Amino acid sequence: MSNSPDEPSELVFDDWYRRELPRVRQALTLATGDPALAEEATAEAFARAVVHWPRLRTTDSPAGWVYTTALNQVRRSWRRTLLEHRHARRHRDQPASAPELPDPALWRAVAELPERARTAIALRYIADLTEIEVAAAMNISRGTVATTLSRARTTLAARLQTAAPTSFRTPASEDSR
Amino acid sequence: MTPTGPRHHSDLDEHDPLRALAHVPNTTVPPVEGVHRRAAVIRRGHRRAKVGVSAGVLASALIIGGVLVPQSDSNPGPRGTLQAASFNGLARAHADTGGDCKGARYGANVPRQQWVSDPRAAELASWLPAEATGEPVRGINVHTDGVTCRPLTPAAALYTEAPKQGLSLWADVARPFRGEQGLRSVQLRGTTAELLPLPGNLMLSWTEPDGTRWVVQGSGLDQAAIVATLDDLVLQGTSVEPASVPAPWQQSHLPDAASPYSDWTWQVEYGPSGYTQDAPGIRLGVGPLVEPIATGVARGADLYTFTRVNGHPATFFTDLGGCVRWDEADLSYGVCGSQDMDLLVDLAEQVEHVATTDPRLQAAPDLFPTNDQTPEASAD
Repeated sequence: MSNSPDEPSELVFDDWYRRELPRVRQALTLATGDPALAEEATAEAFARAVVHWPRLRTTDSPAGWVYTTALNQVRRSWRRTLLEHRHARRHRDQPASAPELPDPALWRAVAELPERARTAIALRYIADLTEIEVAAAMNISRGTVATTLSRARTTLAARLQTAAPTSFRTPASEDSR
Repeated sequence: MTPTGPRHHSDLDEHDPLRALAHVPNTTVPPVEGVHRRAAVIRRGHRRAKVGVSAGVLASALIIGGVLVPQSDSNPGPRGTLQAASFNGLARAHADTGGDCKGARYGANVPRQQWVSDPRAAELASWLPAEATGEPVRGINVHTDGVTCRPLTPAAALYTEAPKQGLSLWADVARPFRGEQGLRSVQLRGTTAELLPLPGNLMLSWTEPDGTRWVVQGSGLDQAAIVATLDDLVLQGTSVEPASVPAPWQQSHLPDAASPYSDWTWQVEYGPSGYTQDAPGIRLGVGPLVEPIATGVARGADLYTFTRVNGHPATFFTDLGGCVRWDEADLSYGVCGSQDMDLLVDLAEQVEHVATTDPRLQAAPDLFPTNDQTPEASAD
C-alpha cells in the first residue's frame, strides 16, 4: 500500500494497530459484554484513528482516543437496538462468556458488575489507562472513576472471597494515580 | 506482536488481583488493509460533510445518534445527502432537507453560560421539586450532538397495551436490508416484501406502487398478524391515513415535522454527589420528540410495561435501572432510577417546566464539566 503525502505513516500506524487491537478489543468485550459489538466498535475506532493519525501520533495517548471513540461507537451504534435485547437476555441468562484468561472467575465476576463499573475496570486494568484517561474516555470526573473502581473492588472482594481466598484489597496508592 | 501481559507503563499495585485482567491472549488481528479501506471511506464522508454535501457524489454520510457514518457503494445508503438517521439506522431515500443538515460528528456538553439564555434550553428546562425526590441535586447537563436536522421520524407508531404490541411504519426510506442475512420473502399489500427477523421484533420492507419504500418494525405479534394489519392500512404517499388504522391499535402522537428542530437534551440528576451508578438516584431527561414511545415497543414489546403519566401514555423500561418515558408537547420525557415503576410514575407526574433562570437551577452544579475540546481534538 503506497502512501500519499497527506496519508498517515502506515508503518507506524500499522505496527501500533497490530500491537493495540487485541487489548482494545478485550477491554471493549468486558465493557459491553458483547464480543461481536466489541469487535465492530474496535474496528471502526481504528479506522477513524487512521483518519486522524497525523494528529494522533503526536499526542500522549492515541490509545486513549481509540478507547473513547470505540465507546462512543458502542453508545451510539445503530446496533444499539440489538444491544438492548442482549442486555435483557444477559440479565435473564448469564454474562458474556469469558475469553482465555488466567483467572476466568475474576472475568466472570467483573462481567456481572454494572456497566459503568465494568467499563472503568476494563479501561483501567486491561487498557492500562490512567484514571485521568479513563475519566476522559467515559466522560466522567476522575473522582467518579476512583469511586467507581473502589466500590467495584469492594464488591469483587466480597464475591470472590468465598470462591477463592485472595489478597483482594483496595490499594490507596492506586487510587491516587 | 500481540500483547499477552501487563502493559508498558502500568503503575498498578502489583498485589492487585485485578491485574490478571491485563493478560490478553494471543488472538487474530484482522488485516490492517481493511482498516485503511474503511478509513478511506470515512475520509470521503468527512470531506463531503465539510463542503456541505451535494447531490451526485459517490458516497454519502449518515448521522446516527449524532455520529457520522459515511456510506459507500459497498455499504449503500441515500446518496449525496447528509441527513440524520433514525435510532434503527433508517434514513430517507430522498432527503430534500439534506442541504440544510449539518453534523458536528462530536457530541458536546453545552456550557451553562450558553444554555441559560438559549431558547432551546428554555424549551426543555424541567425540574423535580426537592420534596418529591428527597435527594440533593447532583447536577444539570445540557448536551448536543451538533445535529441540525430532524432524523427520520415514523409515519405512524401504533401500539396496543393488552396484549403488548408495537408497530412503527417508516416511509421513503433507503434500502434498509442490503447486506443483511436471513432475509425471507413474504406477500403483503399485493406485492413481495422482504422480512428480516431480529431479536424481539420483525422488520419488513416493500415498495408501494407509487415507488415509496416503506419499512415496518413490529413486536409482540407474529408475521401473519403484522401482514394482516398492514393490508388494512391506507398509505398515501409517505403518510398513513389515520382512519384506516384498525382497532384495537392506538396511534402515538407524532412529532411536527414542520416545527424547528433542536437536538439539545436536558438532564438533571438527583442523588449523592459524584456519579455513583449503584447509589440511589433519579435522572430526569428531556429531549426533542423524534420517536414516540410506541417505536420502542415495536422494537421489543416484552421489554416494556405500559403505564400513564398525568394521563399521557407512557412506558416503563427496565434494563440498567428503570425508566418511565412519555411524550408531551413535541418533547420526550424520561424519569429513571432504581425505584419501582409506581414510584417513578409518581415522580414523573411531578415534573415541572421551569425557567433557565430559576434560582434552583442557578444553585445546582453542573453534572459534567463542559467540553472545552474543539472538534479537531475530540474523539469521534
